[in-house]
Amino acid sequence: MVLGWSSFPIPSDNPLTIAGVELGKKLFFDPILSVNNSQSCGSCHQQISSFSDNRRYSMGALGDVGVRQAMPLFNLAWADKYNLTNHKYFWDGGATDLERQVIGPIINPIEMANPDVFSVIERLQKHSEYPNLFRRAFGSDSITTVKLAKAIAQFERSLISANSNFDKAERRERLRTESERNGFIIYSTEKGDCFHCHGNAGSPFFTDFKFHNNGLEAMPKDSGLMRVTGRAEDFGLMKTPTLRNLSFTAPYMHDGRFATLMEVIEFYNSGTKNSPTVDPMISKNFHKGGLNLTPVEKIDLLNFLLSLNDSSFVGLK
Amino acid sequence: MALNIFFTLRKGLLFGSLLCVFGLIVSACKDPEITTPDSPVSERWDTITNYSGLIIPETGVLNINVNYEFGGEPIVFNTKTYINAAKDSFNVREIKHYFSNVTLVNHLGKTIHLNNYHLMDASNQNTSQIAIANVPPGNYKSVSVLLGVDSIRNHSGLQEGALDPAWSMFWTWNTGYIFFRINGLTTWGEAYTFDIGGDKHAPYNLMDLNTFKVKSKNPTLNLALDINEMYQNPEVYSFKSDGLSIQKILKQAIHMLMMLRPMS
Repeated sequence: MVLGWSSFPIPSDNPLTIAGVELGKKLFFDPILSVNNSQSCGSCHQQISSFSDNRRYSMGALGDVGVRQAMPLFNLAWADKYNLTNHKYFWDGGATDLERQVIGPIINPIEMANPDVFSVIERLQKHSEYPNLFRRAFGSDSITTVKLAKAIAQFERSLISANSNFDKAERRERLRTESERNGFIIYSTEKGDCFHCHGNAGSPFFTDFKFHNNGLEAMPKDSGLMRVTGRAEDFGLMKTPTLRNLSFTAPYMHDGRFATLMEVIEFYNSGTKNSPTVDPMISKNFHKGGLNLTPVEKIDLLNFLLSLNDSSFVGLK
Repeated sequence: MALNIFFTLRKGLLFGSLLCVFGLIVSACKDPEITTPDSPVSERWDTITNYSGLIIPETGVLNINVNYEFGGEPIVFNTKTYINAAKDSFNVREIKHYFSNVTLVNHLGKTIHLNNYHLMDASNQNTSQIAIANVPPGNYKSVSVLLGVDSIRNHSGLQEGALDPAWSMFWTWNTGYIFFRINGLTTWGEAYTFDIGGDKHAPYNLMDLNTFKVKSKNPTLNLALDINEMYQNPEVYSFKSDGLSIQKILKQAIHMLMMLRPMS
């Protein structure tokens, strides 16, 4: 499939409009959404970081620090389509859909820290521009929680990243380097075994939209998906992050423990650990001590991963 | 018995004959109309005197009042100290909960969903006294209520009205609504809060209306919700030894809400 507007799944309950996306963009970058007018969605989801945060843990409006890495935002509409569970967004699946996800940070005490959504809506309703912008987007200048969430979700869904060197090679606009090509083979065969969870050219999201325990720890400190589902078999499972734009989304893993991509590759090569819920695609290599990639193979894999960077998406040439 | 049947037949024949006479004048005599199973049966509920359950004779309004109690006495917020079976003493500051999916079952076993979603705040009578309009006529034998939000609404998108997340009965970074919230302060100064939610914990209460002999276009169901049951049914819950462990309370809450009972 081609990743782009031609394959964009339009949500039936919140179709995108120009006025809706524009309103969502203004809201996304407006600190009016935080309790003390100090930060916007964009404070922790910066375009230069592929709408992620280069800090290991983001800081909230009142100075509180979270416990997980801010996730990058792009190609989100496809998660609606390919993840049919109630656990679609966030590291532990704590948001059922993008509209609900939008409400989370607004009222989370360690994020934007509003006591409730009503106070935010009141501020927007009194604003000199917002009532008019909501009327343009939704036909009425009465602002509601649903309209607020829909507008921001529209903007977030409009963030499409599909212009990496990988995409250009798929479109026959460029040739892969030899190292990239070798890396692609390592990626998509049992040798590197990345493709089971991160997808391949046929599913170019570089995530399976699912949750796995990738063997980071013998005793995971973060219960992951289990926090939401309550199921023991979900202990320590985290959402598979996309591999697109990796150069802009450091640090890596749900807790941002790895600063560089080489550390991540070395972790999968030799550092995975056993635990009751570890994914079979990780545990199947325990008997031979990991992937056993050579230094050259690691560099090839790295070069392939770097070909997934879309610098135009983050505002660079 | 035999006489009764005969009498009915005679009445039918007489009625038929009268129609024929009238019909002859206009055109030809037709057979009396036969009611097929598909056509709606228009029963004259208001003519029935010997019945059980709830009869709503024509499209009406179902009023429901929820009364909040502790051990059978009306709850007094903040100022009154309550003692549970484990001898914990505490006050109650707030009780808020969803009250949705009111469903009636008629004498034929047919289910009528009233599709309501209400958020009740025990300290505000305006929210704990609700009126559901456009209830179809019928003889109802039972009523059920979900003290929560059904799994479909609990997991799909954002909604307006009672289900607006702005009411703060919605979990941040989690799936769905807080179905039932109670909080207060123990006499030893510890604040307690129980937020109950999750599909498998949605208390579903089925109440028998057979002994409830009321015929009205605007009937009122008075229900009681006894908080004490949360702390003693079926197990004794103790603030001190069970702590604020939500697991036990989750199981107990369903029993508390089973105490909802129709009162005429």
